[in-house]
Amino acid sequence: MTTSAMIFAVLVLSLFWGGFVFMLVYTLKTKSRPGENDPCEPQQQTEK
Amino acid sequence: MEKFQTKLGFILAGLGMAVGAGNIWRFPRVATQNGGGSFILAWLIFLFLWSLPLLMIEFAMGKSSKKGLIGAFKDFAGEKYSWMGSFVAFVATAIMFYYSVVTGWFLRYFFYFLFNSGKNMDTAAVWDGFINNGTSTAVWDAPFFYQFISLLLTSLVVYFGVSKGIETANRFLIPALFLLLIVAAANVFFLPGFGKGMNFLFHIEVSQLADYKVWLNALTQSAWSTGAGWGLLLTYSVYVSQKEDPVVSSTVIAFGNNSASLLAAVIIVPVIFSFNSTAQSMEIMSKGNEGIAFIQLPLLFLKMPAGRFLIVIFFLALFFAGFSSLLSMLELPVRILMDFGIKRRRAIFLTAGAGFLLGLPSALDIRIFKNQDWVWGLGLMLSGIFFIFAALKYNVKRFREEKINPFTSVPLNRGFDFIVKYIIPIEFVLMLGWWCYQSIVWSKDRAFDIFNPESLGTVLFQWAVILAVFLLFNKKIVRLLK
Repeated sequence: MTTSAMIFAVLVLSLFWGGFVFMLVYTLKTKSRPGENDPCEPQQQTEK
Repeated sequence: MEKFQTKLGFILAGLGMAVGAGNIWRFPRVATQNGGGSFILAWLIFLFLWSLPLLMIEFAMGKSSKKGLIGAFKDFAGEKYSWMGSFVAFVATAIMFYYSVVTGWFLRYFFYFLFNSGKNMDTAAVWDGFINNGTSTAVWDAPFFYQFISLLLTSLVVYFGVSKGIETANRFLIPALFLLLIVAAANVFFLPGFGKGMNFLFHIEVSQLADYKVWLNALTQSAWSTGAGWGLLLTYSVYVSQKEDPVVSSTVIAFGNNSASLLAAVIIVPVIFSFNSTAQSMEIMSKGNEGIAFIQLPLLFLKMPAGRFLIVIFFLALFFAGFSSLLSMLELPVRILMDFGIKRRRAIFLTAGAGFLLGLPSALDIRIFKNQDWVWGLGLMLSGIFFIFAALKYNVKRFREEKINPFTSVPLNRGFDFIVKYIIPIEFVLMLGWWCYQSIVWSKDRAFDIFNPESLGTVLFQWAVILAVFLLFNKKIVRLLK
């Protein structure tokens, strides 16, 4: 395997797998933002 | 209304929706045929310029409207354009018809290798015998039997509803799928040709970046594989909390989907390159999805230590990927029928029954399968642009400011508006135009023959019939919504 291919492989695999795992953990640990109410109840949806 | 019980459950269901057969049997083939690293680079770019914006739009539409596709299009594009939602729903449902056949193939091959050693097996003859036998041999050896089992299992899961059925099933299926792929990749790592395959997969040839075909193939793969524009994520998003983050959730699903594709490529490409010269490997890659999965890979796996174990794992992973996607494809029309006031149980019976009957021709005749795959695969591009139309009709800036940004920890800026307004429509025109042009070249003088299974004529004819029906009955369909 050439060095350039190896570097690209490491970059791409780290980006996707690293990004996937990081964001998965991030989204599971993140609660709804403090003070945020639910401004978008179903009855308000068709107001446009 | 039913709800996903946990964030993780929703993310896993979203991954189940996105990761399908295309990740495992299409991505490695198309990546290798289009220059490996150059293709992957282009595919990475189109994740941000096609798939992610569409996934976010779908997510926000479903979560906000709390209705299936037709109701969501009514809310966002207006009643006059609800037929677009009907068309998107029809495309995904038509894909479900023949996708149940594909899922059945994986199930049959899993059982075949579970109970047969495969020694001295003529894989081409076994595949031809299976795919062409129709109803001539035992019923349990016919593709329609496995199609029926796949739909039956899917119906059973969907019957239990979103939380107890779809969420619970995906909590098992997706970790198991990733685990199976990781076990297979660990085995492939020790092959003598691992480096050769990886080199071919990740080597960037600068000259290939100037080849428009590499870019258009990467765009097509990104459009088909992530589930963006299918309406499936919209359907699942109906069942999430209003506070769910559309940007982060869509990004996790898209990145997880692409990670699965890369993992599959890291398994399949080195296996093929380990036992063949580069020219032979490219010849194998040209044999199409079915040729690689059912004929070439079993032969190569069986040459490896613990080959039978690996091939059982491979087909089980394919089945899990197909089955988890099939769940979302069945839930999509079920959700719409429920919007019409039909009870879940009855809606499942109707859609799964239709799925079996209308998928049967694809199970019995591979030419019909290929025709349907061609017509509705291309239809997904139209589905994608209909979502863009809905966002533009609503006003994309307003869409971003009202439906996305208040609920995300990563607010989107005007770049999103630019991509939705200009980049995706241009991509759509180029991608659809290129596929149409290619089909005219392939079909030569039969390009507009509607009975030629892979012609442009058959695509236009079938689209026109369905669009005409939905346009004609649009008002009546909208009135049915509860």
